[in-house]
Amino acid sequence: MLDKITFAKRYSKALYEVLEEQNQVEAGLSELLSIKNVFDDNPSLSRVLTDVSFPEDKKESLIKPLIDNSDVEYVKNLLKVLLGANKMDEFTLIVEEFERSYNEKNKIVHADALSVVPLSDEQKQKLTDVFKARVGANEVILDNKVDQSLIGGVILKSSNVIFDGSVKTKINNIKKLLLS
Amino acid sequence: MSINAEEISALIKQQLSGYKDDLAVEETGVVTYVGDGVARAHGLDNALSGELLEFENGIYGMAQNLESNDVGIVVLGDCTHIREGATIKRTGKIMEVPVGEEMVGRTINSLGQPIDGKGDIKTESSRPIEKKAPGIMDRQSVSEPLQTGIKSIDALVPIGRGQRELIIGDRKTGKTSIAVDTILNQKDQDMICIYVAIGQKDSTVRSQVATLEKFGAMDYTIVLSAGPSEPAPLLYIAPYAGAAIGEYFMNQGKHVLIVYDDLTKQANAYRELSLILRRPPGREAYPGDIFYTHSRLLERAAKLSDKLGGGSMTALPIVETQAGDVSAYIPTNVISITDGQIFLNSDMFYSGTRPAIDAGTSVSRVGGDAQIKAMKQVAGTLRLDLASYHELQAFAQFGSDLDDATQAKLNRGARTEEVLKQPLHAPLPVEKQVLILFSLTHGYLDNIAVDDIQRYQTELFNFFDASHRDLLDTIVNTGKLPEGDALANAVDEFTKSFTPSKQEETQNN
Repeated sequence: MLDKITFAKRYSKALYEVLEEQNQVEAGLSELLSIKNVFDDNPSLSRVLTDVSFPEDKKESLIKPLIDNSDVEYVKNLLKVLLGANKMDEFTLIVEEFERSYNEKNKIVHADALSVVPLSDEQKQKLTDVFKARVGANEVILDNKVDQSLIGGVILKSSNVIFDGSVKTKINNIKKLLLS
Repeated sequence: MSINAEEISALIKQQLSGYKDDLAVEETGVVTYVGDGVARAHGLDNALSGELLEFENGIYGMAQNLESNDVGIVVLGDCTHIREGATIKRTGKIMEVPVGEEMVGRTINSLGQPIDGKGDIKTESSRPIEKKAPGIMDRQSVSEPLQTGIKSIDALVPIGRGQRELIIGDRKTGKTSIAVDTILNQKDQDMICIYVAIGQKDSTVRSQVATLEKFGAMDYTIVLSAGPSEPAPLLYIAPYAGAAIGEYFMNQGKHVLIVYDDLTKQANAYRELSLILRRPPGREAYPGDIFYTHSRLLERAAKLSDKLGGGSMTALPIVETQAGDVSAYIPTNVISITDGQIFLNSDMFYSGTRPAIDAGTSVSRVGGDAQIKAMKQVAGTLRLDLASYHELQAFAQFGSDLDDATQAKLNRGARTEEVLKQPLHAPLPVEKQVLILFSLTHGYLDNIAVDDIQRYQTELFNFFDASHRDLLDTIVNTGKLPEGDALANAVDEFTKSFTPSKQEETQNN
């Protein structure tokens, strides 16, 4: 049996290729993201949709508004295929993979910036510019979060890499050095 | 005692001198599975195979499987505190173990941490546990002997420094005792010994260490123990850690003896973690690279060329068989990797021939060159004599009418077996081994009752120590038998003065 990630990668790749041919990638992405929001807001939805004891016709009526609301034909089809294959719980993963390949193609980088106090717009812009140059991206989408435990400085988290400039880490390093 | 603030601040300044105010860039992943000493993690895109990874709570892991979606990690420590969703960091380092002179005399675990309660080990350097073995040009052929102090080994299957000699046999046949006795005999031989206990009961290791301490062998020995209660990855890396410590001494031109006790358990530990990492199982459910696991370990034993200091590392791996089955997977593998094997026979062990070394199936492929000349002279025909004795012994069961030549062979064989017996923890120096084997092969024992041979041997050694020390010294210093008849005359003189316990038995036997 395929594991979830491999499954999601295959479906997102197929969807991306077919939307690219039709020049509908952007439209598709926004559709997918809005549907994903519905799933994220209702965590029980994907569970119900893959529950074998839940009647099929009710599943269809549940998903119907989502399908009808969608403008992109291929997104509609994806939902139908997933429902038929009883793989609705994979949907969010597929969207995440889709977004990842879109970002990769267009060199867009998402980053979380943790700081003790909310960053000003000017600071954000500076951070974005520096980060853009560092990772070689066209666009950096910065998400500022507040974390009091850092004491000072900023931590940037972006896809598996952490750029840690927080005072907390520095103090811990000094502690390690003194104790060794 | 007053505390000097200036001194303290100077000390702190010195310690802080290594601190750099850099931006810490860390590559991370997310744990998706934990269990049975193994974890899987997403992310860690650039992780290297064998790289050390750090979990949130300071526990380390080693990257083993690099797959398309995740990384398979063996956890080196307690994995009960690792949760799904926890982050894991790359360290960029390959697994290392501290090495140094300070380790001698200590008992450590697979990570080089002391477990003997004698405080920290302050070593200067460390070495990667996986290192490529010395190549062709870095080696020279084995030429110096490693005296085990066990007559049947030094005479029949001599071991040279830099050799790999397998000790193989069923459970409870004295495999570990041979290894420990060999360590005991390295006293004053300028040899560093490393005893790697893999999956051995902690109580056994404790008594082994007590034995070594009792005979003063801990002065030059390091004990590395990965007990059965440790997670499988620590058992798996234990011999590599031991080899890394051994290489440190070897590269300084020293001689090292390393005992892996035993590789069967290491193979079992590796099988366990390979199956949990979902590598495809092969014969006896061992993974495909089980041969390489042992070959790359044993290849690290070497005699270095003079250019590299001429140090050596002799490996004595131990493998346990089930009911004497040497054709099982692990025994055949390790037999083919090593330069010979010492086969211990459980039937011989229970019939009282101890050490129970089976002369027929034990071989040493390179040690012959390392044997001293005197030993070669007295032990040259011993193996053949023993083989023909065992053959005749089977026939002699049928009748008692034997011709004189056959009778003589049987007599000699019985005495040879008796001479090769040796009590536990009583290694003999090589000159004394030569002496008793000289008496045997020159027929001085033929008229001594079999029951008297042990007493004859003890008294012979005492006699030589008292009156003919010079002859023994000649053997030690020149490596050859003394010229002329001096040795024969001295043995003759003693044999004549020897009083048998029972007069009548000598004539019958």
